[in-house]
Amino acid sequence: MRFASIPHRVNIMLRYFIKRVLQMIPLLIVVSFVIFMFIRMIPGDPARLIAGFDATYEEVEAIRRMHGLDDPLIVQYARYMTNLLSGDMGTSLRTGRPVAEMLLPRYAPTMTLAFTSMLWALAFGLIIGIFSAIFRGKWPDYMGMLLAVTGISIPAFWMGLMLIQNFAVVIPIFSVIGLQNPRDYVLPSITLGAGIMAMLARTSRSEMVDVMSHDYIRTARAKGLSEFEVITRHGLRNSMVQIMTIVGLQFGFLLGGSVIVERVFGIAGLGGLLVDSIFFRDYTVIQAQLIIFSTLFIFVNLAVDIAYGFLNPKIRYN
Amino acid sequence: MKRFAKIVAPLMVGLFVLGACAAQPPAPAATTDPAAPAEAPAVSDADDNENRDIVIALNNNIITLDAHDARDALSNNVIAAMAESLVDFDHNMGIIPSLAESFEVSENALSYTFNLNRGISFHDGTPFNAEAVRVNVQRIIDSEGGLRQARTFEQLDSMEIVDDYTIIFHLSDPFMPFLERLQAFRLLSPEVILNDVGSLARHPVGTGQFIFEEWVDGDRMVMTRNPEHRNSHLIGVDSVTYRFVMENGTRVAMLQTGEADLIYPMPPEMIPMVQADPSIEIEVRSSTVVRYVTMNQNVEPLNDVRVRRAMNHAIDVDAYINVVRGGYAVPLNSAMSPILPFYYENEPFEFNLDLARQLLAEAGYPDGFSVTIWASTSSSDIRGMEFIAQQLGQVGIEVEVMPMEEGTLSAAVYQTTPETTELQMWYVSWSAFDPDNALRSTFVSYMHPPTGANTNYYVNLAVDEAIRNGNRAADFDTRFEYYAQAQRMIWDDAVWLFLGADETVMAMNTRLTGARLQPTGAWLDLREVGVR
Repeated sequence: MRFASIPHRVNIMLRYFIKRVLQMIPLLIVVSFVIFMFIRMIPGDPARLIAGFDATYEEVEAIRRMHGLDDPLIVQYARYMTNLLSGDMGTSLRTGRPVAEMLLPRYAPTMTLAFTSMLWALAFGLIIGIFSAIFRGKWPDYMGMLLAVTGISIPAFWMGLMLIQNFAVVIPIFSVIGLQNPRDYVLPSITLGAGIMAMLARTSRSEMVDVMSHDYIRTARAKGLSEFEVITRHGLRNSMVQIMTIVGLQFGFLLGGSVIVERVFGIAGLGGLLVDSIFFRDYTVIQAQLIIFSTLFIFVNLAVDIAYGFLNPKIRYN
Repeated sequence: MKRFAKIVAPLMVGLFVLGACAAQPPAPAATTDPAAPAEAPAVSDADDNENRDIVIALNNNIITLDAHDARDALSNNVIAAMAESLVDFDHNMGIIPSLAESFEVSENALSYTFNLNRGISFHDGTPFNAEAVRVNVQRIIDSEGGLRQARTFEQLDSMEIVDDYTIIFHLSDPFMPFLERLQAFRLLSPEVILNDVGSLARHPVGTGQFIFEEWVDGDRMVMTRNPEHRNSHLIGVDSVTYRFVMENGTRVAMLQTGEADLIYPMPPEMIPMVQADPSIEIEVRSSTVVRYVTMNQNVEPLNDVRVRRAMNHAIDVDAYINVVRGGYAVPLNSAMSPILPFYYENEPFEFNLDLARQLLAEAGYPDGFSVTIWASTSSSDIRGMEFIAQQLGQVGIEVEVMPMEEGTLSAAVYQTTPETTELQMWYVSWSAFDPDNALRSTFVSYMHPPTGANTNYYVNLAVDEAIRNGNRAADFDTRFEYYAQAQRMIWDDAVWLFLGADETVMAMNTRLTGARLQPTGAWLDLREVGVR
């Protein structure tokens, strides 16, 4: 496949992209089947959980019939896939509402929160990592790594509640819950991003330490480049492949929504819905969410793979 | 250098934006009015500029707004402000007319006649009348058990519309709890039921004092005052917003900052955090929730009444209430909550370890035995199980504590038969508004799983008979006598480890007036809510 009037390098990338997307189709079919069967293997009867403990057998059976849960599994899967391919993700067993209608309003908060968390985590993580690497074995290094270890060690749950107590109750700068205006993203983003910031700080430090010991860095210095240029053009850039891998993986997880942060800050996101759905064995909602997460995860990693090419021209798309 | 700028500059801009947002002066808290004196006059005198929009933070999401299919307490809680029933509870859980002007029960307890209030309309303008009631009931019957309210009409034989404002329900079998059940049967616009029934789960159209405004899933539900309601003069707020906030600490923080005017439930362990705050008041009320341990009476040695009695004597119920329920419960001295009308108070099992050991020895277990207890993985349930294990350990009973995820637990308890079940003991709670739901579902011999919730596998035909007679008797005293008989027998047979009946706690800003917990403790009564 060759696209006319497109530069050769971009053309290769486009072909690579299309190939990867096509590879996703069988992968997603397998994923859908595995998810469908696996969630039905978890002990627990959705009809009973929906009906409640005080429901009679007849009631439970009526609910089972109403949702077609009494059909053979393979019939249920066929019905599910037929609907899915026509764009219908089904109806929630628990709420009786279309799954798409339930998921849609929860995307924006989760996506925005994931983005803002990653943004500050990346910025601070890189800065701390670079400074720690440059001043290896000196106090900025110790301070940076102390911060990183603290970030990884503090449970998000506790950190969220502490931030609320200090910066919403005692010093009322932020509101306790909700994402009504940009300011509301500050506390949840700090809570959600702290662990990733710490991880990025440690990774970027070790990568930078490694890269800065290479011969080409000495060459760059010998050429008379300023230390700043040596660090940014030759040091940081060569460390970015590893850092981007972590960013990609973590961003995938963030898109799944952080259950804890959503819970602490009363955010109506995807994480909370997934937990609720698992709790009630709301199969249709769990399936839809897991398939969407899988797809997003695959796309984010594809984006990271493509980014590698920009960061390191030696990496080829073939 | 340029490349460095390309990477770092956008990041720095992002950080500055965040920082700038953070540096903005705080917006005035929407609902705080710390200056309002506690003795300020109630709503009618509030000046026009006063904020009359209130926020209530609940501890979970609502699941549906379809009044005929809501199964969880919170959804019912929210629906109750927007849709009304034919009859309602008074402050002592007695039945009073609501949408019905009056009602009468025939002597044979087979016919229930309701004379309906005139001049009432649903929020969409559809008039409320006997035909509206019929359409509502018909929808439930047609669901063939699919809708939650189907339980209410299990015994319904036919409906008879006498005139526009009189309807009679004829039952196939006398069933007095029918009246109590009707309290939870809320009427929805027949127009919507007939033409757009699917919308009811998202947009309820009832006759209540509040009109549905919007529901943002997982975030908030808003309703506004219904100026057309016959009791609209009792409502002193313009709107009520429910926020769904699962985290206890966050809910309390919302109350402290004024982001919420009322939080429900208030976590008892956090009461000391707000007790000193003069703008916050706490309300505690007994509830219908009872906590106990079921004991499978098909397995040895739990099938021996002496063993079960010994176990009841080995539990210090007061310590249970303090350690596990934070002091917010009362001892459970029967098989149902003390606030239910047909409650019968039994002589408590004395906390007496010697007596317990003696009974165990008589039963042939002088050194105790081993047994497994199940419950959910909630920290409160685990604490409860550990407490029970410690207490029973004092008389040599070795209890293995097994927390299980709720869905798995429910399958282990209900997707089974008396022959195959592995259940030995289950630490659990039950909430019922009428004696039938309290006793029949959990103790009658034909209600063993998977049919019902008699997870004790208890069989006592005299108890079955007493509950049946209680459900059929038309006058209060006779009903009480039968239900009391059943409660005495269940107590004497020590069917459960009887622990406590919960108290519900809510906390609110003192600017709020008239908001109270319903006598059931299960939901908020906003029928007279206002602001100072």
